[in-house]
Amino acid sequence: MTQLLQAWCQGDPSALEKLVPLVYQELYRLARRHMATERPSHTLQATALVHEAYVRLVESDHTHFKNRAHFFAVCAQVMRRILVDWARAHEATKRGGEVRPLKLEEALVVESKPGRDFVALDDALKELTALDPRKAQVVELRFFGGLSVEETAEVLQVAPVTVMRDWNLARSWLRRELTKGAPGGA
Amino acid sequence: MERERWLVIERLYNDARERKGSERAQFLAEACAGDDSLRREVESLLAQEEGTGSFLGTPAIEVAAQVLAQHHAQGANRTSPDAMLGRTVSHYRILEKLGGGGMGVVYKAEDTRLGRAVALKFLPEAVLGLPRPARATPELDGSPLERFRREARAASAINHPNICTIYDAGEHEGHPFIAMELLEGETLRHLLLRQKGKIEKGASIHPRPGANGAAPTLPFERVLDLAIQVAEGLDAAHQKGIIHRDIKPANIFVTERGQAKILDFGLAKLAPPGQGVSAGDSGPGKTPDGFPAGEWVSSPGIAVGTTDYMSPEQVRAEAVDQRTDLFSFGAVLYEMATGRQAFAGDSPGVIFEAILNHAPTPALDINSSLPAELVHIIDKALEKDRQLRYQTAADLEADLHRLKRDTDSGRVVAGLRPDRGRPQGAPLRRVAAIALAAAALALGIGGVMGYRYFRKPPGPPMRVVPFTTFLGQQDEARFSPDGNQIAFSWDGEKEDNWDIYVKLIGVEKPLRLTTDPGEDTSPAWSPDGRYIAFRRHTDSEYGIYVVPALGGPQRKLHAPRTSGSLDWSPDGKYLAYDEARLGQQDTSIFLLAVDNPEDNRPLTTPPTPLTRDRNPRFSPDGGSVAFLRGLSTGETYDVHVVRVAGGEPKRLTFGNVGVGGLDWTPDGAYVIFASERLGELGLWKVPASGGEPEPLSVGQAGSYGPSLSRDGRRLAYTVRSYNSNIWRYEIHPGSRRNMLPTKLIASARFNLSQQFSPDGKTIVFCSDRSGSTQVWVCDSDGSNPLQLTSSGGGMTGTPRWSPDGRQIAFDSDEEGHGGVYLVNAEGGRSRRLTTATGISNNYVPSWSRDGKWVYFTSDRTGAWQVWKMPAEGGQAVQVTKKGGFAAFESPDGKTLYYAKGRNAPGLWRLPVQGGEETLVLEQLGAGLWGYWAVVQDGIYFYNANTKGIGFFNFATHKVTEIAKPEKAPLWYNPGFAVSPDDRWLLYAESDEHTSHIMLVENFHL
Repeated sequence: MTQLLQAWCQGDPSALEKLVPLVYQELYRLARRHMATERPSHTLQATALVHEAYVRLVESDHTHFKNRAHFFAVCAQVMRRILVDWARAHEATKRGGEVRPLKLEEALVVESKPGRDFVALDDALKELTALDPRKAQVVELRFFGGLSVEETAEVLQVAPVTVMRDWNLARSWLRRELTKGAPGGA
Repeated sequence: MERERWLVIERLYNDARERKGSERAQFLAEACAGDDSLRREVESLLAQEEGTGSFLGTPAIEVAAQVLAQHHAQGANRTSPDAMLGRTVSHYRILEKLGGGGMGVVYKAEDTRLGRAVALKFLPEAVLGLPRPARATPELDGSPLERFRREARAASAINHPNICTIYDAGEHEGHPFIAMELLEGETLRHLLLRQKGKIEKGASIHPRPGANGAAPTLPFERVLDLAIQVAEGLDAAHQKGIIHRDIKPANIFVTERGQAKILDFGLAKLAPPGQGVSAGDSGPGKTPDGFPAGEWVSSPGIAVGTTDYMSPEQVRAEAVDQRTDLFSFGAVLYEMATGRQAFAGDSPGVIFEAILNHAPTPALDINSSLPAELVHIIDKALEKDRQLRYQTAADLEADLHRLKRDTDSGRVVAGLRPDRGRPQGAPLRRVAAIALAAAALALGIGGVMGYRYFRKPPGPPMRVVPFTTFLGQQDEARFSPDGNQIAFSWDGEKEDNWDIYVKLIGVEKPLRLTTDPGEDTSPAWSPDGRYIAFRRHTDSEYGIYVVPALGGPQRKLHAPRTSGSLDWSPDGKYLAYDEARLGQQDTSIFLLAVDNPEDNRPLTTPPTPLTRDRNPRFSPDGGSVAFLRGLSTGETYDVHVVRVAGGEPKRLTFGNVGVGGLDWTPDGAYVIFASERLGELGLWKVPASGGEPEPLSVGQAGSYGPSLSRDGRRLAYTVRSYNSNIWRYEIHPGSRRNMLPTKLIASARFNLSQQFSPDGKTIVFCSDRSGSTQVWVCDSDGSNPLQLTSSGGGMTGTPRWSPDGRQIAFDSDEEGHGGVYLVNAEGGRSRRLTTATGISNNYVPSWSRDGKWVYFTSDRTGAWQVWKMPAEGGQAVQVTKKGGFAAFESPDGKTLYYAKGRNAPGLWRLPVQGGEETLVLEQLGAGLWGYWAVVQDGIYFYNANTKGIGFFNFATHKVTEIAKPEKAPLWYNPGFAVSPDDRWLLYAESDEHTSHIMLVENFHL
């Protein structure tokens, strides 16, 4: 896995393909936990689980990353790519299949608050990158990478309070962009 | 948008967020100073504030997982719980819903057959229905449902007042359920929560619990009473070998009459590793109002619900044993006594860290009224090292009883601090813990805790990859201490010289450490990884050597009397090796001091002169040695463990089958071994404390020689493939030279043990082409093969024609030990000729030339001797006195020829009428008892020295080499025959015998 991540870093596109099943595997593992409990997840705990998922993904006695910040950054990037692609594929199957379409919104809805699917989020993030790259990266690291504020701060070499500020503004901005034109949106 | 403007927006946004209400509006109005678009921009962002609380707060992969789970739930179209009411499931009528939780839904139901009320618990399919690694032997494992039934039945075997009885297990429309005792009361979890609530409500009256203040706890007498009951229940289950694995307050029910009942015994094992089964309260009982069962789950349960009470070994994903339950019980006891969880935290990570590395806050600091003895009991149960913990529930129970007695008699005064203080666990920050582990991983700091703490079972799926794929045989894999290299033995590219090699995982080219023409085998690493010890066997010596792991000069440590295997103790001080005792057949395990090789002493004393103790392997703590013990006459072994300090070995397996190597799991809880329990060699595990062996999900179908890396995450083993065929040589009359062979009888796997019929027209042989080794016949040109026997199991072999050609004698292990059988040459039922005498073995039959006697080899006296008995049945008569193996009469019927043992050189003869034995042919090598044939004027045999087929002429006493087979014979097996007209010679040769080392990544039990 680590080698795959490295390869991907160095521009080997096939590395991403090889990573996909590994990420999916973790995805299904997490999903099975939900199936077993039939309960909405507690965020804090989910974060820990996701951490665990990453750790599984890169299980290796030695990694060759420059540092762990670099590693987390790459991790988050990979997760973003794979999950957005996954969401796209998921939508595609739903359109073709008989299963009642399940809006990703329903899942992004946490405590009945609106959200948007990964694809729209991905697009919005690209816009945010153009506007303010660091804020977009904060979102990528925290949402896709599952990093804590402190860890994100370490990756970006800024103070945690800065990350917190970036995070708040970025989410406000993204939420505004994503709810534009939606009923009840601002 | 321009960069500058965005920076202004950002600054205003951040500043405004620090202000509330009108102050904020005023601030914005002033700051924007009439720039309405700027103000709108900032306000529109601020307007999102309320909604962003948890927006993107859940990591993406988790969101995706939830989508998947919901999707699955929708697609599954499950039976609604309420729809179950009033329905009859099997013979249970469902009356009302009692609760539901992670473990499933519980109903009150009536057993319509017995007319009693029961609790019916449906297990969610996700608990059982997870895909498991494919196995070579699926019938063993069965469906998840089958496994569930088996576990439930095992658990139902425990009948104890402090264990909730399981009555029945079944399934309803694919949903597994268990029927159990209906209880009235509440779980201990509720009880504790209620207790807490009571105190907290009265906070204005009672002082708040402080560092040394009273915590909301149960009365001490109640704690002691419940604890004793739980300990009794645990003891009862442990005595039946059943481990709970998930002891926690939610799994302890307290009935209205104050009786403690442990719930869900044995079921935790069913859950996919990493998931507790009974996450929430899903007990089979009614609970008081306000605490509906199953509702008091603070989290999705499976993670938090189970991790809080996990033992260190469970966190490390190591094997569990009864002491695991005792640790969890200790955590429960702590909570009962102090009102606080022993290990708590916001995430599994924090909890794991605490479980592994920190003692909980001393109980007395929280509840100063506790008796010191109870604190001592809790501390002992919570020992992180299981060796230091209570070893049995009975011990724990005894201590609790003693405390109760002393309390009742007033000898114990609560509130005395124990003498021994414990350092208080440093406060933990979640982030720090996660970061620590993540950093250890990412940077490759090999801190055991660092990466292990995340390693809850099962981890990523196991991955089996070939480690060596060289020509020839690679065998005896041993991991370096860091787990990144494997030392192994290999007979080389030319398959002619066994040497020691080392290869890094992920690197193709091995490093060759030895080049001696002798056989170098049994590599064993020194614990510091700097040296490798190995055994050498040359024509002139046996030796135990040490060589630097990076290559270099070899040093001879010791000269044992035989070859064998080797292991290095974890403290580096000793080598364990096996060696036959002087002048004896029995083999013992010896210990050799590395620094002083003169200091070597036997560790085991074989109980009989035929016992062989082989394959020593030190336990990870160095305190014990596991080894194989079997009889030198057979090839069956069982796993034993002996303390290095001395004492009688403990027998762990009772298979009486072939075993090929063993190793320990890193926690010392299991011995992994290769066994032929299912016919072919495959890997099994058996608890080191005793118990039923179970097959591993990897390493089946011919796998042996298991070796685990020190962290237990990698497993290596050997897989063998073989192919032996029967070749025909034409013996030119007169010259007996230049014979050209043709492959006569061939198939995948073994073909051997061939004999001509008396008329020379038919050949009988053995082959395992149909799955097990059976007797076959074919025409003399190899055509028309026909299976003659179909015995139930074990080896069936050495078929020999009767002189009249009507019967065939053969031997078979089908009754668990070797017996000689007869079958008509046309086929039909076989009948046993030798009578059973204990567990003695009777092998290698042959007929007297007059057809009246059948010779065979038996170990009934304790040593291999040739015997004979009337072909019609009757009394067996001992023929040889000084050892004998595989006898044949000369064509004239006057002389009996035989070898001396399975592994003894030389061919001997004895007059049939009686007399002294004489050595005829010393050139016959050891292990070649099946590679000779006596004809009128001499003996054909395989000459191991020249690697050719020789003819020993009776008249000249000279050996002439008549052929040079390309491949080696099958050592220790029969594979030689000459036609009655002395024209054809049949030679069974090992055309292919390869073995490769396989590597399992992410190994877990």
